[in-house]
Amino acid sequence: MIANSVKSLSRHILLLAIACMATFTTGAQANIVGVTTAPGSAQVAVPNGSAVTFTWQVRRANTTRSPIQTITSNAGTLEIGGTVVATISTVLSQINNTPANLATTEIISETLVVPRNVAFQMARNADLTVIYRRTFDDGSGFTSSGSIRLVPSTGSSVPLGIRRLDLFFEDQSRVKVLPSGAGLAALADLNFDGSGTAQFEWQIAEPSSTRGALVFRRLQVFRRSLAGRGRVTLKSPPLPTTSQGLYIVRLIATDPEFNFSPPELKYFVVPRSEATTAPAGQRVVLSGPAEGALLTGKTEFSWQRTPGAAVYQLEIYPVRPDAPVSPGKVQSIGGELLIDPDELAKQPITGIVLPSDENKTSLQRYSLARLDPGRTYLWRVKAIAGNGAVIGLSPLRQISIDR
Amino acid sequence: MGLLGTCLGTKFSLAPRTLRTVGAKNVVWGALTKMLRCTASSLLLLSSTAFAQDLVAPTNTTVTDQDDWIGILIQSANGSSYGPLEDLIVEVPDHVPFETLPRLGLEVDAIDVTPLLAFENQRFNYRPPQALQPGQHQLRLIEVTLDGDVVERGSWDFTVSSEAAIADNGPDESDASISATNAVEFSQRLADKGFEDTPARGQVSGGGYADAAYSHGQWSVTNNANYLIETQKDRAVSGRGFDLGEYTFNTRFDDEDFFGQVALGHQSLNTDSFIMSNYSRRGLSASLGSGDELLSVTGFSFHPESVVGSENITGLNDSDNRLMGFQATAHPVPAWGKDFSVTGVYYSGKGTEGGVGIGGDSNTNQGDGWSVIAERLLFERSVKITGQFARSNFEQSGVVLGDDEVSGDAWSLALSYTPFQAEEIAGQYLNLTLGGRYERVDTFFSSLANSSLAADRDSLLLYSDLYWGNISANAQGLYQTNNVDDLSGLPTDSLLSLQFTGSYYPTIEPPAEDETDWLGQPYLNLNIGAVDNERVETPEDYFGGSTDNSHLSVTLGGGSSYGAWGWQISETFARFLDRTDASSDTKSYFTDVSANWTISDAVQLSGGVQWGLFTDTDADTRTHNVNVNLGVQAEILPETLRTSLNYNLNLLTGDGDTPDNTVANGEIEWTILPPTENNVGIALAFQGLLENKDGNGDTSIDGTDWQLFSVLRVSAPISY
Repeated sequence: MIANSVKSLSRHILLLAIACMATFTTGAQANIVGVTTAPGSAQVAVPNGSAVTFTWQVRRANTTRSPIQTITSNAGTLEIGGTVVATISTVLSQINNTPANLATTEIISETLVVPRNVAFQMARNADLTVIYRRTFDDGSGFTSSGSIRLVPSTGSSVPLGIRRLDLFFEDQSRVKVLPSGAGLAALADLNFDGSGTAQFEWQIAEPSSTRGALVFRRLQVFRRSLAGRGRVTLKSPPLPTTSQGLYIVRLIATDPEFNFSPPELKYFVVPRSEATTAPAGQRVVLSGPAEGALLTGKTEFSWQRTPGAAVYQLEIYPVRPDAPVSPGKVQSIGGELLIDPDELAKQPITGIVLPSDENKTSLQRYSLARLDPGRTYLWRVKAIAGNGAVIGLSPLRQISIDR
Repeated sequence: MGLLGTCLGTKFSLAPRTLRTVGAKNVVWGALTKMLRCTASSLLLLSSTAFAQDLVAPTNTTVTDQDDWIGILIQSANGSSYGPLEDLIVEVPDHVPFETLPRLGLEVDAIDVTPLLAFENQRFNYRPPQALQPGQHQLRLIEVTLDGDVVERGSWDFTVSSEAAIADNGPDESDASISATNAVEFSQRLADKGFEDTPARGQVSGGGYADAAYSHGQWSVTNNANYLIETQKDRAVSGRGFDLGEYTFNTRFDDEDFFGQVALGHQSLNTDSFIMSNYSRRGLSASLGSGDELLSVTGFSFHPESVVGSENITGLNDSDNRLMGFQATAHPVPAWGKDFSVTGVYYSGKGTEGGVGIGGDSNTNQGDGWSVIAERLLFERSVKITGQFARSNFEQSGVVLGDDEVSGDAWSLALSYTPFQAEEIAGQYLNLTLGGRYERVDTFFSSLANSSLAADRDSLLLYSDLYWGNISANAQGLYQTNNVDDLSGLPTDSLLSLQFTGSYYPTIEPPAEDETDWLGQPYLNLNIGAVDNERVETPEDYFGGSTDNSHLSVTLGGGSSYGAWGWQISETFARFLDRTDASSDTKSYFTDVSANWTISDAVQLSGGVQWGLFTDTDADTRTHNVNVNLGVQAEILPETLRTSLNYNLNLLTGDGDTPDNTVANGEIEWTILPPTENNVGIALAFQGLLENKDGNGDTSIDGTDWQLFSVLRVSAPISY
């Protein structure tokens, strides 16, 4: 053990001496003479860890060797107070084809994702110096090491980065089989550090590509401000369910990019059949009246049919104060109201039930009499299967009663 | 919509409102004649048991001068309470004029159930499509007079109990059902060009879902599962050609005094606390509670990772990845009823937080945690106070230096007050809620049962929610600091966030047809957010940089919808300013326009354009992004031949230019044999996809790739 250490130390001293000779000796044979980073230090969010992006600057001295060489670093080490706490086995490599007798600096970029267990130790030992070290080899026996200092910091003072992405469907499932035409949306629960504006894309691969070469098309491109609480939930636009077959949906961050492989959700669309019990979680698509319309005796409520429904129930609720959207709740932008469905668990003020072959109705005079003139209400349609299970819900819409 | 009855399998619909028009009267009289024929027929089928039933006198019925009759509610089968699905029968006295019947309506708990009524033997019969909850309910019989007045012809309070259902069904009666929808596709790639990574030409894929239910007396069993077939194993949900997706197996026992439930498979505890989120997990749980739901206890054992497939089918096979614990909810003060509740959760376990659908940070640890939540509603529920305390103890894996065990606390106190609930102010109804929430989550608070929780924050949130006529507005301010554990060597930063969201839905009188009704009903949205991050405290000899940045975002949106078509537009401006110059200052503009149009039941169009400009003011770079989506679905021959086409164009130009990308795909499907109950359906489809890339000068990227498939689809819906 000691012999190995002595041997290693001797080797490093020898290499250092050679490097120094190369620096000060014209026409020397040495190649890599020094490694630095830009910037010299970077902040890491603790205790959860974050990604840091920087460049290695590998300086080469004049050389008479073959100009085409490959500079390689097989691994990096994370050290806290001189103790190696983790090894990063990412290989960095760059081909150098600088003409002979020219001193150059090779620039190699690296994005280091500091693991959570290392960030945990950084937080617990915040008074110790943390460095990330790499040794570069030019392939001809010459090596040199460099390091970047990692400074423990809080989640708000590091550059914006997505740390974790949790994808699931609205009913919290991770895989779905559903009839064609059924409503479906995915949710993305994001944990992030830093603050700023990120750009995302909801992408979908449809059966015309999942059975062959995989091609994703962009369903939606959007920017979203991320700041503060470190967590946000994003909702996809309605996912296609027209064609039968396998679909793959994912959320991609294009700025800043994920430092991990984006997770995917799979769903399979089967033919719609009225004979079978439809799965729960379908979305009843409303046709009219429009958002915020004035309700009169002539107002016609209408919606698109829901597979598997035995009856529809139109429900009217009073608008009630809603709590602010808390972290983790869905925050949608557009005409859809931000109401927690639990708020509607109580009995509606009035409504009407219809058999499944009717998808439009108006309210009777005695139902209208239950509503106060001048007041605003919410309405929705519930699809109920033959066994009594609620298999579909529409989004809420506002409606006002004529004074 | 008016009365709708069924008689010997024939349906008829009557519209009371149309009685006022001569033309409509003919329709009504036609229907009445139909009803009369049915009634006459039904008289021959009168059941002696029906006549033997007792009658219930109405309650709360106001009799006016024009009231010369009231309806009669037929008593329940057991004479006291109704079963949840028991028929409700209201008899109309014989002397009521026949022409009055179409103007009658029936309400159950204020819901108009008239369209589901069957009329037979001078009686209206209503069978609830959903089981009525045990407890008190109200039934009301109403007549709309020829003058348009509403006259109550009877109002009854009745009780529903689960025991009554048992009595109705009889001790030996049970009910079972099973249904499944299955589909398999055999596809062949007919031709392709350009794509490099293509699988074998012939592929098989499929999927299905099954539901099964069984009930017997107080017992009920419900199961559901989905499963997939995929010959491309890298695209299968679990890497297997045929495998289970997710499933739930649920058994429940209901008694008037208590209930019990056992659930296996994917489930959620329906709780959301610091220590445990409400995400679905695979595992086993058992619940026991009082019939009045004032007390319930649930024990559970879950797999912490999200899993699908048949491997580890119970979620409990891996002892290194398992959570165990319990949750209990009680309403301990009888006088306060459900206005006061206490919920406790405890868990212990170890494992990894990743799994299907999860990317990024996948921590492995072990530990335990508990939380207690108390909630109190006061002053007619206008005041709500919620307090929560949680503690986590966990052991971080992979620690070389120092102690790997750590504890953290989290607590919160929230208060909301609703001073105005439907109060009329300046001619508009006002709802207003004011609230605040203080939260403190320690730096090292971490729960394996709530992986997404953002820790290390000490925050105060103040908010208001306002609904006033056609205006709604939400405003909130948040002040938050971090380094909650006050670790030496770490800086402390603060965050001030101000958010405003407002909506306006102008009330527009419905315009006359053929004029401007196509403009529909408009709406406007405004979202403003401003965030400021600053350094509060920097430790001595701190080597890192400072924090001083701000962010502003403004979105103005609007749209309109009318009948079968709608559109919306939004414009977003965002600015990020970093005064420490650690990162670039940026500005962005983003415009989103979309529309949809249902031309007919057979043809639907949708489309949208998104355009963005992103500017890095430090680097002086500008990037334009354009994304276009168009879609059309058409049913060429009803239920036989249909087609769909999607088009997507994505351009990124300016600094940081990337290849332009166009994707178009489409399908035409011919249904040879439509699937029906317990009969196979067969369809033949042709699908194609085309992708075009333009390298904008880099010709190595330029090119158009495409692939074309034929697909034979076999489906088999099963139902018993």
